[in-house]
Amino acid sequence: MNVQILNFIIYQAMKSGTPLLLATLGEIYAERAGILNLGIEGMMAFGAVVGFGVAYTTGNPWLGLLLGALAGALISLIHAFFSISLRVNQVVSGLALVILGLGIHSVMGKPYVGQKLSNTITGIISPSLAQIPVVGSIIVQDPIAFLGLALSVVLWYVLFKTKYGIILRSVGENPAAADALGINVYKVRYLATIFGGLMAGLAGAYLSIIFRPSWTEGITAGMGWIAIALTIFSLWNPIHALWASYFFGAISASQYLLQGKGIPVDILGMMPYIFTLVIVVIASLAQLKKRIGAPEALAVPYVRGQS
Amino acid sequence: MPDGTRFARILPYRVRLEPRVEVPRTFEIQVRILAILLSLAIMTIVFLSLHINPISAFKAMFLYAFGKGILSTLSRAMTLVLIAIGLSMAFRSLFWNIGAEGQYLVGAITAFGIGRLFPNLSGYALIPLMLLGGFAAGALYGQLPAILKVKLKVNEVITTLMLNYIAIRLLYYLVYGPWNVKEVVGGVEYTGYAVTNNIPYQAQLSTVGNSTLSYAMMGLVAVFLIAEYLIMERTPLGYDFKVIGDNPEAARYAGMRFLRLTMILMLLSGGLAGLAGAGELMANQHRLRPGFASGFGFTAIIIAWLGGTNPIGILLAGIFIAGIIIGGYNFQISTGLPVGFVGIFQGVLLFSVLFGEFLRRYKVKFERW
Repeated sequence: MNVQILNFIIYQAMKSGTPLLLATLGEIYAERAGILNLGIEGMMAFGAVVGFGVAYTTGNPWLGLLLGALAGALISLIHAFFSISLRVNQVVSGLALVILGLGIHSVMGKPYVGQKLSNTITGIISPSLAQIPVVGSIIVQDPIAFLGLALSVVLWYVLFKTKYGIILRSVGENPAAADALGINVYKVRYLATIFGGLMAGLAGAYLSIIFRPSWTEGITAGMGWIAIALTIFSLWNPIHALWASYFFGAISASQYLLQGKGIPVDILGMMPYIFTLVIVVIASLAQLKKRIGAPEALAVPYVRGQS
Repeated sequence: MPDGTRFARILPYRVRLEPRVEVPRTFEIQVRILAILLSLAIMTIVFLSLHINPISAFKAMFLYAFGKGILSTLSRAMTLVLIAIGLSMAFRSLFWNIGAEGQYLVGAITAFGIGRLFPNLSGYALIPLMLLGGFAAGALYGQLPAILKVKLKVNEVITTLMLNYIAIRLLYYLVYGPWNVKEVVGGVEYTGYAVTNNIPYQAQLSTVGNSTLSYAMMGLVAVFLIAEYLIMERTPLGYDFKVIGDNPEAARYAGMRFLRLTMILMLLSGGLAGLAGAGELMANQHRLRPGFASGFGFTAIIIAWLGGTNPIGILLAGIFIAGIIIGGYNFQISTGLPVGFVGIFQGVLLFSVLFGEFLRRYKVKFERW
């Protein structure tokens, strides 16, 4: 493999891995608190359209990212209310969020179809340095890619090494015990779900502002669902999510290398999805073997005074 | 179990949720009607925020859907209801089959392939063959998630969803590649369009007038609605499905054969989606194209959830939601509104149904602090 191809793969792994990573990190926190939010695809789509719209009208991509993330947080509140306060089935509530989010993204995005952003966010380092083997393709990345990298370390630290992490995990594993210790289970779950929405919104805005700074409908293309698979695959650990997302990005990128080698484009396009199937199977095998599972109270509504 | 739980501190009143012990049948129906009204109320706000007169919007939608466009509505409803019958059984057993879209597509693809392979067979042989092929393809496509869930505890939401995307890519591949249209009309050969040829003429189902509502699909829907009722209410199989759904632990304890049951469940659920795909191809679209599926599998999820495992409920829910879609398309053409608002309507409706579900399960009590 020559240096150019290696650089291309590393570059793409990080670039297309970043939106997956951001969304997966958010979902990890939500699920660690016991809330299964299948609505990532909808939250991402909403974040993507709000982010693009803001960046397009104000010309400020940073503001787009911020409001895109907040949009994700806002729409996740619906899921939080339904699954935490109303105690409805979280699978169905998440699906409803996907349908709703995709609908809104299509209506709001209509005026932007085919439009390009004049201002986007690029790396600080000059792209000419991308020629340097391996390191070059990393240092030229955009700031949000580095934010994702940093966040996975920080979120790992918070989750496993701080008091807040213990609180979050206890709410997801044994909410009744957490409640008995004076933790407000509902509040923690609300915050975790909103954080998940914030990250999914940011992931969506990243797609429409940085990854492909022009508007096409259906920009998320199933990435939200892949993030859910990556959450399982990373065994709810932010550090695992980091390399899993990048690895997934590399696999998605390698389909471009195989193009023009006699394999039809649409068959190559199946690769990310087939690969997702493979990784959830691997994750399940690992879980069965190591006895690591999903948070004990995942998708179980908490009712005070009843366990 | 305590009588209720405090869950919010924002209001001057304390809200207590009291689980309902027994739910009368009329209340189940009331709750669903309430859910529909709630969704209409929310859509009124949505329309207002889009600067659209909600009254004329609803009028335009429903007058068309249940007036001039009633045959289109019923035609769409038949396809959706067929899928929803299978889904409702799967959901009843807590098997989250989100893959109806993919099962529907492989059903249509297989039916098309059979028609392509035997273009000279008589309609009496070809029609049943294509329908059966569609059923079998959907049923088989649903087996992988079933087996993976029972044997390895692989989350079926993910597996069924990924199989959707794979089926869509397969459709694209066939439509743009080996099955791409090759028609000679008036000495000119047409190629390169994003469609396939039509299925053989004798395999096209006869319909009411020149609508797309076919007699065969109505028959199939009637048969499978009754079959669902019989399976769920009158057979040990249906009993087992319900026990798995209500209490999986007890089912495991009782030594129920999960693998066998789940495989049968997905045979039915996937098979019906596949059959719907074949039926949609043969009654309505006659050829494959990239937009062949357009979210039928997801819409059917809402129908299954709104209708429950009650055949009449599913049929009514199917006609209502088909009406929203057909009326919505009509309204969209006349106002230039993006089609996505039908998606918003569906999302709002599903959340409203969930809210109804909440009211069915809990009594809400307000008390002063």
